[in-house]
Amino acid sequence: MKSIVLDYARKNRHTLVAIGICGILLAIGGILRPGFSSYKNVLNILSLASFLGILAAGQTFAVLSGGEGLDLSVGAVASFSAIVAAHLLGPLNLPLVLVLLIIMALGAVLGLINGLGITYAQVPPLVMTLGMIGVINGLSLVYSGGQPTGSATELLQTISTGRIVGIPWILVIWLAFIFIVLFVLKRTTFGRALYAVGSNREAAYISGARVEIIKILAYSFSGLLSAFGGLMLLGFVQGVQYEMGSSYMLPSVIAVVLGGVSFSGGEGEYFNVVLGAIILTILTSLLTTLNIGEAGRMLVNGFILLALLTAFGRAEKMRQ
Amino acid sequence: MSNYLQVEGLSKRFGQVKALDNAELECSSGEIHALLGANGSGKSTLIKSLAGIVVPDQGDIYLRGEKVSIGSPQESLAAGIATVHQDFSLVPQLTVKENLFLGAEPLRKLGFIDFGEIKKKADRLFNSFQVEIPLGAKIADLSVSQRQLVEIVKAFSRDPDLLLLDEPTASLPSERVKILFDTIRELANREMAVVFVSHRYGEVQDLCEKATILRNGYSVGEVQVAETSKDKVVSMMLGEEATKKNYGDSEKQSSKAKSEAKSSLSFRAENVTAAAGNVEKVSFSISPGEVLGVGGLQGQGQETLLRALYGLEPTIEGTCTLGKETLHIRSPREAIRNGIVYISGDRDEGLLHSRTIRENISIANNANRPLWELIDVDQERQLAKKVIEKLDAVYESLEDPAWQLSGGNRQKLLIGRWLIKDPKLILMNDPTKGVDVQTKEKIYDLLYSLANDGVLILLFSSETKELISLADNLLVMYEGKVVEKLEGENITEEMVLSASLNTGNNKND
Repeated sequence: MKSIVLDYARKNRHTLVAIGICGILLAIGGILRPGFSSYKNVLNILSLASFLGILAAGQTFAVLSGGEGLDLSVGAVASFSAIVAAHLLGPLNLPLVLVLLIIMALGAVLGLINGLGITYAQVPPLVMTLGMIGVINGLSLVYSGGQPTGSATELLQTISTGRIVGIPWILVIWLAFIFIVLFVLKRTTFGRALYAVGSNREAAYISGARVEIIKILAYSFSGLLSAFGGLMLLGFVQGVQYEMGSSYMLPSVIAVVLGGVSFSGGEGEYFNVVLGAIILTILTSLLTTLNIGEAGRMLVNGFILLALLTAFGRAEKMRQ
Repeated sequence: MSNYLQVEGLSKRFGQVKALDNAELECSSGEIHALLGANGSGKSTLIKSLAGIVVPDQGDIYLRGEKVSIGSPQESLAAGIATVHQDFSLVPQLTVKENLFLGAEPLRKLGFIDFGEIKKKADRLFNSFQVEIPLGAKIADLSVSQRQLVEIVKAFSRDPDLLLLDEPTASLPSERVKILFDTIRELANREMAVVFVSHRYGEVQDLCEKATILRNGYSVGEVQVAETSKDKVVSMMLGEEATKKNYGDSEKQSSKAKSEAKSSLSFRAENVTAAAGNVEKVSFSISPGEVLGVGGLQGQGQETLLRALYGLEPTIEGTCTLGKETLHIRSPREAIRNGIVYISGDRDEGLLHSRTIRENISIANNANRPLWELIDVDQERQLAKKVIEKLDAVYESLEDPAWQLSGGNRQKLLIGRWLIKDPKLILMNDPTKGVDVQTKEKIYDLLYSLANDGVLILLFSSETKELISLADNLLVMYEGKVVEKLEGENITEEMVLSASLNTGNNKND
């Protein structure tokens, strides 16, 4: 029995450490500001974390695909889809389910363009997705004619901010979302192939995998999930603004790295990315509670990313 | 002046392998001296020691009777040595001009590079070779034979006292070879010492007076080329004992594979030609139960042939048939679908280092299924367990990442994954490269039992001995062509080497 526990601990070291960090941060918050670690506030923090967690899911697909995989456009896709969704829901008055489908298709197409550029035109992911930010932000302007209109409908607001038996709806949705993402990554042939391609592209190809298609799909998924995140964000913010998702770009990368997803690709679990998103959100609210401004929070985020990348980079080297 | 270059007792180890073991070499000014030896005899290591790329563990190098130490390519150049490397020393991203004078740029005042001077000098050199290669072209855009010429011109442009040529003719068309030889002779007349490494014995006869023969890293002796024969040189290269011992082995083992095969499918390849040009019109057939070997000197297109058959290298010609079916294979996926699998000894090429042992085995299945299909982890585990136990791999848990395994066990993983696919033809690209003796034995056993089950096997091995003892028949490749097919149980290393050297002879006549 003891060895099973130890074995579990060894294999899930990352998860346990992340949960530990969450606990420590909550405890520190509780000591500095009474009420920070109350049930109510923890639910609030988790709700906030869900938006980051959803966008970081897209990022996870991109990073897992390997070859310096990265999707910097997750925030831009979220912003654009929020603008389109607000327009479709408000002025056009389309039903939410239809809007959801349109938005996700839109996100998937944007991701597809990323994927095509990266695999066939061989543009490095960093450059490709950075360029796409400009393109997508331009699209936002063109689409809205300079003045984004519409807002979240009541139903969407309820989903993003309402509660069911005391639990925020968004957490229920996030839980279902986590389940679906884990299922795709762990139980489908696509997920398996994605890990294989990320781990060793050449080996996956020799084994018969259609490397290009899998990479393109990974970026399409990234776009699709980011668009979904944008819709949820619209419900949360209610009104619509330009680039409302762009502040999630850097945190989505940090959450992925915090979750132990390797930048060399093919290694890491979405569940740990979820924990990474939670840690980051706790930290942000802690800093806010302590009256540390936006600039201070950005500094902290930047330092965390650098520290993590240095630490993981060393671990990688030691292994070889 | 006699003995411009003198090498004494040069030794170099790479891990367990003795690449050089008391090697000796003497070459006078104005002499063109051949350095001969079989694969892995240390020729290239000796050349690299003189070029400053490899630093020997022991031994002395004398130039003009003075002891020198060569610790870097710069020191080698400064000592008046220029080298034409077998694997080229060109930077692909730079232009021809920049490469030619890399590290030896003629400088103007203030340290700026004098490009005018570079251009003049380069033009002169290329003119003497009667070639037209634009000086502004990037190396990456040149053909292999053009690169070879740039490499040669680069060495010549340094005005060396000692010129080292490591297989300079490997990718040159014959008319250029003639010009190259004339130039070398002219330089030798001007008192330059030249050390010439080639597998083409005909070229050695044509160009060199004396030859030093290396075997397993030491110098077996120096011969006057005119007074010896190819057969004598070959037996010096191999040593008597080696050939005899091997003979017994091959007899014992190949009979094992000869037993009745269960399947009756055979494979035929006709006129397979790789787009890269290093495999030309190769035809052969493998009959049920046969292990067909591809051998010869290193890098004669054997690996490209295997990769081309698997769809990893584009081909411009060739038809393959398996049984009655004609195959059109353009990717590994299509090969696998037709029952052809590829096992590489290059573990970086096949292993998913960061993934679990279980996933490394099931990838053979999972990579070839529709993407939306679901995975049954329990079944995966059972399959992995079966395969890995069949091969006696040592592991702790199926959930451990593959990088934790030892080299031999990783190799077992790479081979084992294909057993779950019931392949009809296995292409083995040096499957025992760098593995321990026990793993080798295990791989041999597996190979025989597969052959017995009627699986067709095309085997390339960088160890000729191993190839002879495993293969029933052997294709000897030279410069991308099959130059001889050796059949039966009495194949010897000598025959393989002789077949390779023969071509060199013909080509130059």
